[in-house]
Amino acid sequence: MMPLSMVASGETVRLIAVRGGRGICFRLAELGLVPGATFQVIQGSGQGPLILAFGETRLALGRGMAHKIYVESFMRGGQECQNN
Amino acid sequence: MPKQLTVALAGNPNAGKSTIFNALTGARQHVGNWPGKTVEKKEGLCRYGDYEINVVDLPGTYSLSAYSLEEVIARDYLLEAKPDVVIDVIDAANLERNLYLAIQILELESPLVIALNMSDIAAARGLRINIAKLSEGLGRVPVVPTVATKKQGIDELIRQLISVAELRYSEEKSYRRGKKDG
Amino acid sequence: MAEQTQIRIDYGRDIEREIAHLQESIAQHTSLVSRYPSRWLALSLLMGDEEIHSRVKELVGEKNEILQQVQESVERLRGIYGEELEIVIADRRYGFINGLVREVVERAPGERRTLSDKLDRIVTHRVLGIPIFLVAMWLVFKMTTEIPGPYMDWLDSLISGPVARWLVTLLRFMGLGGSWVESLLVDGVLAGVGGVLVFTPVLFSLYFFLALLEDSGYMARAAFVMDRLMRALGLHGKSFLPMLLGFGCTVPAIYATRTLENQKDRVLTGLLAPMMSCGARLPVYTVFAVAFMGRYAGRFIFALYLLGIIWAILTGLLLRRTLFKAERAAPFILELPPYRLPTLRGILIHIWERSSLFFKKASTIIVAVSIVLWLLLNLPWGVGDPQDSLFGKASSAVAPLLAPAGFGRWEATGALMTGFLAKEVVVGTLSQVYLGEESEPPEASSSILQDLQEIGVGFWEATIETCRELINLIPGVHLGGEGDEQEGEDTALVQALRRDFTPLEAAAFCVFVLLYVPCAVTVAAQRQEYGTRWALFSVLYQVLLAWIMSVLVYQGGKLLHLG
Repeated sequence: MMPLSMVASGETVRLIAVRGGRGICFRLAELGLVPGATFQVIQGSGQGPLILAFGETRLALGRGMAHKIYVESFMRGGQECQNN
Repeated sequence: MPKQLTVALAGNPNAGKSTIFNALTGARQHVGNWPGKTVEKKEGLCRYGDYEINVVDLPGTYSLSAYSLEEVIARDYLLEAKPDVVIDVIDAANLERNLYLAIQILELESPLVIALNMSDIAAARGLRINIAKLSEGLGRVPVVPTVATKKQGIDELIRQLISVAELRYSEEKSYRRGKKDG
Repeated sequence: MAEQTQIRIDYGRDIEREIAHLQESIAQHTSLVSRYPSRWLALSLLMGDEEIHSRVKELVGEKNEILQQVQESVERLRGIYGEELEIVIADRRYGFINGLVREVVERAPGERRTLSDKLDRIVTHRVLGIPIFLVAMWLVFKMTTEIPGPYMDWLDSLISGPVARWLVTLLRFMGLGGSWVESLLVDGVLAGVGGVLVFTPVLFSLYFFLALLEDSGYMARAAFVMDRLMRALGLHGKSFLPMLLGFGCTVPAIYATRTLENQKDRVLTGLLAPMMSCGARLPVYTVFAVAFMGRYAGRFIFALYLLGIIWAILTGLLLRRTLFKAERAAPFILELPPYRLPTLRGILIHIWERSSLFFKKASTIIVAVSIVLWLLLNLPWGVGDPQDSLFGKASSAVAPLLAPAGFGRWEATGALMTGFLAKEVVVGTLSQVYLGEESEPPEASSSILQDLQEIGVGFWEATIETCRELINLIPGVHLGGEGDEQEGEDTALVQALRRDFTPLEAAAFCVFVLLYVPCAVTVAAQRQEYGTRWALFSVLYQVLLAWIMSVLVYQGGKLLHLG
């Protein structure tokens, strides 16, 4: 498990938990980023906001929030990669 | 005397809501603010047969959870103004996220018609959407495929929203009559 | 048509039990049932929706057992799910959606968002993103300042020429020639309203490019690229565009803050945008720079622009630590929509709705202010010397306040006071009070045909001039144009200014012009967008800041023996 802010560009990860205010967690969940959701980090480590890709959605996310989102590498989770 | 209907237009940002709005109303629109708010309120008139349909463009939102000012405005309008029909503009290429708003509108028990917009792009992406099944799965909500930029499906959308409004109206009448009789 | 049925998303045993429980109590209150669907209401209350909660409180009374019940239910659910309750609900909804989508969608291999993603790889690139953004902004800035320029001159000459002539002819025909009505309508209303109408081309081209950026999907990328920089100033990535537009004209900059989602971010950006020195302030700097700064004129003007930017930054940092303390910039979550080719129709509708709103609201205020200013300049009736008019007397009364800044004389004060209306009139007022230059009453002699010809030729020339400037935008190409000629006028004014101002006073005056209220239309726009209180705050803050800074410049300069 690691914060999303540490994930390198191009990696596909699975969301474990969001440790932020209730409002933020809910907002992300409403956009489809619920625990268990998988997504690709199009633009990751470094500074400034990140870009995530899931389905047809491309989401820019502030780095401050990315520190509070915990993910695991999708391949390592013991499950197969379904698509992508 | 034309029959008057009020229709609210809901949808995610970037789902093509304003294109649908323009296709429905043409130049007959005017911009103001929502009462007491600084968010733009656009209204427009759509004439079809002997119907005069007032289309109210709700702010683009992903949800109705009152997280942002826009969501509060959209939800309050649906709750308090009770439009005759709500059109939810859905980006066909991004069905999952767009349906999130649709099911919230359905949970609010607002009479809904879905405009499955940009269906040409979805088709180009290799998505084949079974319209009948989608409609069935959402509780027989009319689903109209549209390509608003090419004005495709707009007439059908208007026909569907009129029939939803008419059905609702006749139901209410018979409900009232039933009440009186009982 | 088949009858619709109500869908029902299964939120799981625990949540469903509480919903059912609450629904029973809700059903007993007709005031609730008649207004809200009971299942939806129960769910909203369980999710801790404060708005709905307070509305229910209003409808059933504060001590109703329903509210007690809600609290118990929420406690039970929080005991099970903790902070995750809302997430579980969103998750269940997505569960329903995913099940449905699996059933109704067949996915054949097709193009995904590949082109859009490829573009994004360049446009949002860590290194390339900023230069691309700057070039795009430079182009927009150039286009909104260069394209409308000739058309603005054309409109200006149209209003002060043929339109004024027609108005005078009409008034004379009605037997009102030379009366106070003529003066009010020509010098007051037409001058004031004309001053606003002259902005039409800027607004049109500005809104055109704004719509282009928005509809194509680039705006979201620009916000993404600028987010880091703007965040350091306590602003939002999307604040950049309004600030940039401020260099052209503050009014559209205020309206452009609408692209921000968060009201506090909008207000803060709208308070800072006026400090970006707008195009209308430039002529004032130019006159004074030419009069006093000699070969340092260019650097002097540049320093003024810089001062505006620095104060915007400082004000931003200050307000984030004081008035907007609790309000951190909204967390940055922004969807990057796929790039799309904008339609001309969509863009035109955008332009129409934005500019019509501007003209409706702005013109009423301008008409009112123009009439008041005209009255002040003409009262008491038949006043000859402007110094003896109410306006002159008011200026003389206010002047001592500006004495610490060195230019506390009624002429300079009067120019600053008309400058509240619009910065364009500052130079005009100065030349009127110093040179006593009466504006030539328009001659009503030329024929309609001549006028129409003049209008047509003027428009044609403006179009040619614009095309020339567009071509000049291409690097390495330069076509000469009328804009290249140095304007040699104002020499009389420059001499008058040299007699009345010391260089230090001139610098202090320019600083004041930079920092105080840009124009009445800006205040009107701020009031419309952020409410009366913030508009007033903005006016007070800017006037105070302008006063303090110009006093500092003057007194500091005197200490350094620069005066």
